[in-house]
Amino acid sequence: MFLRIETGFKAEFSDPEANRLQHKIAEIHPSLAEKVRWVRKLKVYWLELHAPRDKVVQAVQIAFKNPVTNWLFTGDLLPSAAGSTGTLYDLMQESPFRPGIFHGIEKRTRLQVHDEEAVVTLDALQTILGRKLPQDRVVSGEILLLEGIRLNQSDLEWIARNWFTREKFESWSLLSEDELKRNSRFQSEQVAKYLGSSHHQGASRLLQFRQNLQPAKNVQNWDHVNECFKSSMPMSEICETMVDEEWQVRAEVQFASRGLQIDTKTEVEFNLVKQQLDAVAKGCDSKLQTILSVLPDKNRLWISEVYTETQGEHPIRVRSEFEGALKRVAETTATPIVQMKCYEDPHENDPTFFWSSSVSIGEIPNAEQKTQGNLVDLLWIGFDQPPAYTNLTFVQLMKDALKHAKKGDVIDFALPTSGKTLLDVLKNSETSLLYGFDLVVDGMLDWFNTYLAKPFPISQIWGVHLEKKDWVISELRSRNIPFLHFGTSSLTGDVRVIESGVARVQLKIAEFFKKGSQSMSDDLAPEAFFVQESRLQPAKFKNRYSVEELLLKPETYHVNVPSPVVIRPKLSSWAGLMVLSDLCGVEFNAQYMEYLMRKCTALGGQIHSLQISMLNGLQDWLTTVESLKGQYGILLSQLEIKSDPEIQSHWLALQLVSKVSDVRTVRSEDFKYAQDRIYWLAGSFEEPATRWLAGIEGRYQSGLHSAVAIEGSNGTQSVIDTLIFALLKRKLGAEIKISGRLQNGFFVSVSENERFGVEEEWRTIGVEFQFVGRVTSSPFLVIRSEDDQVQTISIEDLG
Amino acid sequence: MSAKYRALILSSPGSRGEFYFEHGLKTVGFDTEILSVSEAVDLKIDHDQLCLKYKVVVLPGGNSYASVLGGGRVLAIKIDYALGWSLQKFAERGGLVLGVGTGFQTLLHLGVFGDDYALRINENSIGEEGWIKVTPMGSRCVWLRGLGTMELPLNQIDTEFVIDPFAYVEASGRLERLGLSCLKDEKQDKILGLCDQTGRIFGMLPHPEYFLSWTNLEDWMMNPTRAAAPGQGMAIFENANHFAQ
Repeated sequence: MFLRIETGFKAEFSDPEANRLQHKIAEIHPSLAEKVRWVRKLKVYWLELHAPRDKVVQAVQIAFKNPVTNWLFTGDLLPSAAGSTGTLYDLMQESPFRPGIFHGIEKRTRLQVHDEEAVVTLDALQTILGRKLPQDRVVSGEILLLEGIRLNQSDLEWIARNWFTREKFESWSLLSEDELKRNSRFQSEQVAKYLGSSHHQGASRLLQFRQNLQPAKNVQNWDHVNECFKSSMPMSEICETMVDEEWQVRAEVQFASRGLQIDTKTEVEFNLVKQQLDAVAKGCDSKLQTILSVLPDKNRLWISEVYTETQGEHPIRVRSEFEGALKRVAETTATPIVQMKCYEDPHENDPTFFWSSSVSIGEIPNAEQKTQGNLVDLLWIGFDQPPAYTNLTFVQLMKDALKHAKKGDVIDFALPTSGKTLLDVLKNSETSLLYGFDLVVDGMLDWFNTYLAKPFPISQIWGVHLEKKDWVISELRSRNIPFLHFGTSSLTGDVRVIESGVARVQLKIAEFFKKGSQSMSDDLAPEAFFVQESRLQPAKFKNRYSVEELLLKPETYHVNVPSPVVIRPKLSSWAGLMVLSDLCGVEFNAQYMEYLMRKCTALGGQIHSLQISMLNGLQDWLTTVESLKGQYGILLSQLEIKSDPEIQSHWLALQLVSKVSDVRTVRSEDFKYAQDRIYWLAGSFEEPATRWLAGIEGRYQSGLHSAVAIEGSNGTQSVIDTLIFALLKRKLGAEIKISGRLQNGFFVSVSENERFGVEEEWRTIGVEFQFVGRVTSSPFLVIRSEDDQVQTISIEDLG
Repeated sequence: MSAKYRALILSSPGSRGEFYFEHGLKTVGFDTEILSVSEAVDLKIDHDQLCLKYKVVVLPGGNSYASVLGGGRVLAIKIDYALGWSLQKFAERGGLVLGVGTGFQTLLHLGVFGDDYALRINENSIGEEGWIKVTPMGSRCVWLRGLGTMELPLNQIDTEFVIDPFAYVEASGRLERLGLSCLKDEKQDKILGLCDQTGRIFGMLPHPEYFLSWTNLEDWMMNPTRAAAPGQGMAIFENANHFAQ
């Protein structure tokens, strides 16, 4: 995202630096000083930040906004941070000589020059955003705003050259009054134009490293290539023809994806857990699943699903037994439970069916981790022509290079390609190229055509981290190892073959990795066991649209926390995981799933994988789940498929695991800050409010600090209970006025700064809302009724 | 024998006077540690560790991060986002915080006094340094308890305390109503320091660390018998130690 930020003192404050400049001009050039009647100086920043818009806006506010003394001009990004018009016109109004004639001199640090201010600014912004990307850039500069009827261009040039800029380090340009009053200079294109074309986008980036770029000489049959890419032809196994066993690196590379499908029954913990549960809650059936690839070093996440028939016992008692069992498991395995959810179905079935799901997290000493979804450049390493020396020497060379590269952590994966065609290698690399990739064939069509059909000689394909490719290239060159940069992985979900900037072949990643003989339905229940009327509703579980933020502390057990849950696995890092769970009945359809995924994204999660468990699964579900896998390209694992004719219900449990870059930025149920405005939003499922909360419509969800669903139907009491629940965690208070009927909806809190944007969007979308009151720092809930009676509840005492 | 508490002097690129603070705090009985922001990040000193390990946090003055984005702002961002510290919560748990000069600006950026106050260089600034007589107002501030008018050095005499004009009545009223302790210039009645509601977080523009001994005064020779006497700035650190004990 490209941004331009201008900041300067508000009109009511004088500008000491500008005044000093005016005095200097007066000392040296009195006649010119007479023409300059009024001066102002503003700082300017050109930014290129690769982050979501809402996060960038937040970062800009924190880094640049100084509401007491300064105005912030950002074009249309934060119009409220400037004066009444949001343009420099507000500042010009301060001039004692208005309407006058205004001029601007803009200076910026030259791109090749070290810009310390920009470095510090970028560091600050990246600290706020919580990550550092090499593509992010900042350039700093200044604008001098002058007023003078008699000032001409040569005067302004003199000021620019002699007093305002140092031309060796800074470039400058003159701006007319019209340009200053308009906001066109804030447009992304203008900023991008100044910052220069990005080095990290698309084909242009790839072409930089192509050594012998040649135009295509022959006409390519792209239809044939397209057909090849789409085909799900049987793929040949990788030929292990190498001369040394150490050469086989495939097992390490594919470890991450295997982790998701691991058979947990062979894990020590599984039997331990099962034993514990059996001892406490007799007759239960349990399943434990491990995800190894998501968490940072030495951590693993357990998601367990347990269900049982209560056999006439009171559900509360069964539930407490489960809690006891899980706590004991946690103690034994040193995996604190961060979430436990219980669902029960007491109406239709006898015996009552009871389902529990829990999330635990623990540390294991030797868990090898591998992150997924990294953007990498694809380098083919090997001889196109017969090698000048023996295979053995060349293999040794590559082995050394690979060892060195792995030690330096510069490659994401290394695929052996010998004896396989390009297509075979790519089709066998679903783990590494999970989210899509681009092949750029400019200048190497011959190579591309040859190895599309013919097996490679001794060679490898490396996935090189973008930021470290220079290091790899120089390393390969120094070792005289030939290489070819032929593509890059992407997050587009597409496979593309690009020639001259045009995608000649484009298909979805799922279509590319489609395998003829394997189908998910093979593993699932072939048909519905009991197709019945939709008289059974899915179990009602609390806070369907809310988020719970949990900062995991090793010594604590949090049980009975409603979902979704956000986990911070390492105390030293704010990056974490969010797990959203949902339990659906017969009415499950794609919309349900989409809802869950959109909600996950809206809350700040990057979707990683989906886990499903089924009881008496229906055929429709299989179709839906299969289509989802294809559509979104997400990892999917089945925890439990069970059929039981005794149980007359159909359940599908979904657990969506997503990565969160900073758990602090996830919106949660508790009110967070004093002075936040509390609103009531009307709506149940499928109404505008819930669609907005789920992120399906609108874009100002980031303005929300919290959202809590009103539970129960006891009228005002339910409202009060909900508010107390939201206030308890941080021991805050609130002053609210209840008028009318505030039920079937949500309470949300919005900061004062964001209110206008959020309210406007609600009006546009048609969300019914009502301002209820404010969060206060004193821990009392003060409720005013319509007849002005006041009720005060001490939150501290309740806590 | 009284216990020795630890004081953290958090330096940053461009900050100054850390060793004066160290000397002052050690003299009154603290164990001190000078740590740069990047060291603190590397050592992964999170909020809990801060509260457990230290009783006092000092943010020195100077030209932190070359005053990019405004004096003290980058340091505030680092404290808030890179370290994850909440100085308010630190103070609520009994900790003491002192911000001097740019450190005061950092405290303002962190919002410990609310969002309605700021510092700026005034119109005719020439970057003058000098000594100024200041008088504590209010009795809440732990750092200023029992102190009368003091003479302290000021690096930037032209800095002024600004209250948001749009919230002037409320914000200036809050200074009185909530008993926020202030340090005021004796002559011009300018606010030169501010203390939060707990009385434990104090930001000030004058530099007590540069007046630890009577000989720091330019004209101390006029009164040579007091050469061995402590400077008035030392009283502020002594107050901190009394509170800690």
